[in-house]
Amino acid sequence: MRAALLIAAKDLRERLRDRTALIVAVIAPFGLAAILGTVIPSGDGSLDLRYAIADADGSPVSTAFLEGPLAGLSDAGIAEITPVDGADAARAAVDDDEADAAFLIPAGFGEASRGTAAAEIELITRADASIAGQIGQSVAEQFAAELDAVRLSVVAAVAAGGVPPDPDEIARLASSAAEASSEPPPIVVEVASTEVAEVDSRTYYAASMAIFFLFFTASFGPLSLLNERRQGTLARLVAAPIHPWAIVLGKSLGSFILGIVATGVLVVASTLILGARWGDPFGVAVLVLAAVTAASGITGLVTTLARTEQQADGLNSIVAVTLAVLGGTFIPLSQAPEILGQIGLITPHAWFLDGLDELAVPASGIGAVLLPTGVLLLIGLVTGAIGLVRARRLVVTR
Amino acid sequence: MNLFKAVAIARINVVRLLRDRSGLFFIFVFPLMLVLVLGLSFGGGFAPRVGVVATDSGDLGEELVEALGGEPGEWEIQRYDDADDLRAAVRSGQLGAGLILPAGYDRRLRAGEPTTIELITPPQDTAFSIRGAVEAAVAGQATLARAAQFVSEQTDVPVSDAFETATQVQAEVPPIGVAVTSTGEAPIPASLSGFGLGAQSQLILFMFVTSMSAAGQLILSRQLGVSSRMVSTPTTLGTILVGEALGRFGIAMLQGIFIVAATALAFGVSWGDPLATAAIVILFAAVGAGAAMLVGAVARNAEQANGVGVFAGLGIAALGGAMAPPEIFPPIMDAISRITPHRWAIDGLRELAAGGGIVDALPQLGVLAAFATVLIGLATWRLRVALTR
Repeated sequence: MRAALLIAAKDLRERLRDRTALIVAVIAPFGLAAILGTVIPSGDGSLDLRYAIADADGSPVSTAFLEGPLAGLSDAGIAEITPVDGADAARAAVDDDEADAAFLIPAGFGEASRGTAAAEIELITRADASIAGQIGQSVAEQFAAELDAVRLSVVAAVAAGGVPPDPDEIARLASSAAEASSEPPPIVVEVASTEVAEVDSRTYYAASMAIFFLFFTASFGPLSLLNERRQGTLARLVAAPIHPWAIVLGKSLGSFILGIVATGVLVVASTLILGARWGDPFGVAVLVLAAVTAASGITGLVTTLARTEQQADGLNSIVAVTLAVLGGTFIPLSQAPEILGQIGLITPHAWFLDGLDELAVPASGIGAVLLPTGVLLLIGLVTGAIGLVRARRLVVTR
Repeated sequence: MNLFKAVAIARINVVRLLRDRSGLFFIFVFPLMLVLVLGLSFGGGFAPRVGVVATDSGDLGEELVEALGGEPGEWEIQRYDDADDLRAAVRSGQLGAGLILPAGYDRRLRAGEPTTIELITPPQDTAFSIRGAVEAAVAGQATLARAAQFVSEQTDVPVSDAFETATQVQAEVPPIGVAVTSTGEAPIPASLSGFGLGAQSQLILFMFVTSMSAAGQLILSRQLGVSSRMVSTPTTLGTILVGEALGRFGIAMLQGIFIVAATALAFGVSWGDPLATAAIVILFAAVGAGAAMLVGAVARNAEQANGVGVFAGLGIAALGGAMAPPEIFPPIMDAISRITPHRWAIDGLRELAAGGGIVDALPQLGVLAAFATVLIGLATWRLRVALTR
């Protein structure tokens, strides 16, 4: 065991002296996470919309629109409503990016909505502010539907009654229909807000870059075995009174430790500098440990499939990027069709990111990551065991 | 300068790269894999997905679902059979929201019985837009139910008959509605739906990264003394430099042509004006060649050059909008991205995909030509020093 530790320590020292290791293990993932986190809007889920409204009507109906649904938007804290003077001013506000969308209530709208003439609220939207357009449209449509209900009630009552409409009767119907509109709605939309198990985008990029580069960091140890074989130092190690297992273990241990330290540094640095939120530290630690195990196992196995360092390096890169793409480290799987999400489950990357998603649920702890941790360990142990056996054979036969 | 010799030097550079099996994966397979996954994930646009459970909810239930998915590009509707699956999908972030219509929705509405729809949303404000759309679609149907209720109270006609009457009348009375006019241009044009967006960004990302990964070769040649021996032969330094530059350029071109052709054939990506597309690919290949030669001339060992080259290539790609589309960048990053050649190349490709010709892409072509000239100039100067040292 002492020999294994000595080999691991010597490998680590060598790695740390070589700047490439530092770049691959820490600087590149951190740099990419930082860039991606800044260029892609974080989308913290809060809205800050700006609407202009030009009320050319000034009737009780248009006032009801302003004081009802529009005031509701600003009370909910998601929009700022600015009254403007006239349709041209409203259009200009949208064009000049002073408002994201504008409502125009044409003169005579209130009058028309009481009769049976067509009436329209106009909404001007800008294509690059689509959420403001969607919400504006929903709000206006909902208001229009309520007016429509009153109109339709009167017309339908007249049609069903089969009596020629008498102006007094219609006025009576209209006023009771308007009263009826304050009754509880026939369809109630019950909104249930659910917790979402998904990390925010900064954490996502930090985590996905960490697991992506981990597969390169973890390959240092197995690769150095091939390197020592080429240089002939492996034969000398075998000639020394060291058990072959100690050599293999030492080689694996070096990059295992490097993987844990590098990921740990990334977790701390991305939290402090990039504002990532990884969740319960204990859960993250367990997940990272399991992920490093999986990465070490897979790279160990892949490396022993190759004969030369170059071959192994190429093969490792291919496996690492393929697993990374399928596992959702470049493109989040939540955006992809379901089938891709299922394919992703063969990769350690997807399980690692899933585990972090679970930790994003407030007050979740280690219990939430038991399944991902278990799967990662299983992947690591199975591939690692095969890899170690093959690596031992490689050592024995030099 | 001996062009024949220069081409021979260039050729051997390309051949060395093609002999590396794993290199072939990164040149030919990996970019297409990324374009495929990107297209499958974002090709349908960035519309949020809304899951719907509408089992036994009848015609009116279907109508409501249709109304919700009706506005083009607004919500992508996905059907679920089981409410628990739907809840799990909202929880995992696969769905922007979930809507559960009760069984017998249609029957209850026609009978004048109050009905409840369940909408499951994430806690964020952004869910407000989905909630608004659902409430607007529901309000449209509630109009009929309200009118039916009213008619039944006023005339003693049963609610279900009154519902029919209201439905008939609704078709005759002009509605009170909302007229939407949209101005401006969508940040990501419709012409880039499908695989176009991914193909453009991966073309630029990979041409550059592949060039950079070839930078290591140059150092290896220097370390092994191949370069010094070439200098000692009756070959002018100029010829060697042109050959090395042509080699890098050839590698980038090979990949560029492959990605353009393969995505056009396999995924039906329309790149736009072929001549102008070729101009962008050629100039960007020159930019990549220049950058790779510069790294190859300045870096001390091959590992360093490969490591730094590839990761710097990825970083510049991310910054220049070749990973996430620059259209979604915040204003500051949008400005910063213009210091990268990637951004100019992508902007140029966007112009062409939108139907523009070589004239529309002239500013971008000009900037790329400037980048290429400066990089190749610097690289030639540094390499001349490195080779004769």
